[in-house]
Amino acid sequence: MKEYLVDAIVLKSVRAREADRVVTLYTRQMGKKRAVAHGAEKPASRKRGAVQPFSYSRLLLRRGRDLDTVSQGEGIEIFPGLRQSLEGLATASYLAELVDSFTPDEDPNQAIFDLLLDTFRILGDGDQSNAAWAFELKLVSLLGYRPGMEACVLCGSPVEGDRVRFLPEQGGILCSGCLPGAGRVLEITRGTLESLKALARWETRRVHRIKIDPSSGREIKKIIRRFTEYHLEKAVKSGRFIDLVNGR
Amino acid sequence: MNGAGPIARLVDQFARLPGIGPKTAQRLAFHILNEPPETARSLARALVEAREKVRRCSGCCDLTDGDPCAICRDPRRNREVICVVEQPRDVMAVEKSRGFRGLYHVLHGAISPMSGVGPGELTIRELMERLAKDGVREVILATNPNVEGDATALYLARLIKPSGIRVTRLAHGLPVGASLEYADEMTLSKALEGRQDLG
Ligand SMILES: [Zn+2]
Ligand SMILES: [Zn+2]
Repeated sequence: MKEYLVDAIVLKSVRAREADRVVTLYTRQMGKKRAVAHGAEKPASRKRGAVQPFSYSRLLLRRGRDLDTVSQGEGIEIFPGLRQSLEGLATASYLAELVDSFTPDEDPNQAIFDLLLDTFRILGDGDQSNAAWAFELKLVSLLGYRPGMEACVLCGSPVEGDRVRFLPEQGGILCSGCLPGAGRVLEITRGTLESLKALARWETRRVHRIKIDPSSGREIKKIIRRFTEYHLEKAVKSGRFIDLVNGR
Repeated sequence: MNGAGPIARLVDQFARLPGIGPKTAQRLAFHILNEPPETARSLARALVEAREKVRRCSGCCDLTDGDPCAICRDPRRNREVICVVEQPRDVMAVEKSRGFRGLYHVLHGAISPMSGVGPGELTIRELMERLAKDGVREVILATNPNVEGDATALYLARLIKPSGIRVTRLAHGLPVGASLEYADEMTLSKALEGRQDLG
């Protein structure tokens, strides 16, 4: 089998030699996959649209010695809402970078594919923070790092009070008994904790409706970013731009 | 071959250049070594001379050997319109179209969040300083029609709009995802005609 079809969301496209592009795909069939799209920058290229970042496309790939190449491509969805706004593009970059950094090559995961597809569909104008946070919480859960938000992650006892301590390195909230010597905790309000739970649980197309006030928003951003970067063991590069665009 | 000797060092220097793999780097190195010494000397001279004489224009940030550059110095150019492009090669492409008589601003890149290229890595501060003092009435955003170019244009539009300066974006004629430098003259002059307000 020299050629094969994949349904792919283009995470990233990097300029290579001449008018070539090296694309990083997240495919339904085989997970993350890199491929070369020869001549993709020339105006006459027929596959150019299909290999643009943040496109959902059906691609015909051909096995190559090093990287496989994109022989043909056809766009399925281009998510115009995401493309026409600065928030949309900034958020899509952030989510695509998360998927690229977190997932191994050629390890299919249908749930991650669907999560990315559903989230790209709702990205548009205005503040996209809810969509991004919900995506991030769901992604880490699908990868096996579900944050513990129901009870103390160390001893299982209920966590009481208006202020709750979250420790990203332990993967969730702590009770007051387990707190001493636990490390650098982040203190959040109970309201923030409830918002986090809602973001992790609600269907993607409904997360816009979760009401989050600005101070909870700041706590949520801090917690999720630290949680993600702890598991990733590096900073998310797109984080700087999304923060700039959102004024955080 | 000694891994740290002069041949290896030369191969290594070539291999650092964009688009040159280890095989091509080796071919270039052996080509130079097979030519008379004068070839190497004049190549080295050209490299050093270009690097030392070429700088960024204090007006438009394009690469130039005289400051300000020829376009910024030209009294016949319309100083009220600035065309913002990603790269020096895009200035050449737009000039070839002969569809534009204003001035340029070269960003030296485009916003690419995933590669860590933000507004601070481009010449956006220089552009905003120019707009604050130079009596500019229109800014044409001619960044490439791809994700990075669009993000850059949207970001600049948001930054410039409050000043009341008209902001337009190259619209028609350029296929999505194509690079300016591969577009023919006709396509580019159409694109300039069909520019639209942004934001
Ligand atoms: Zn405990
Ligand atoms: Zn100049």
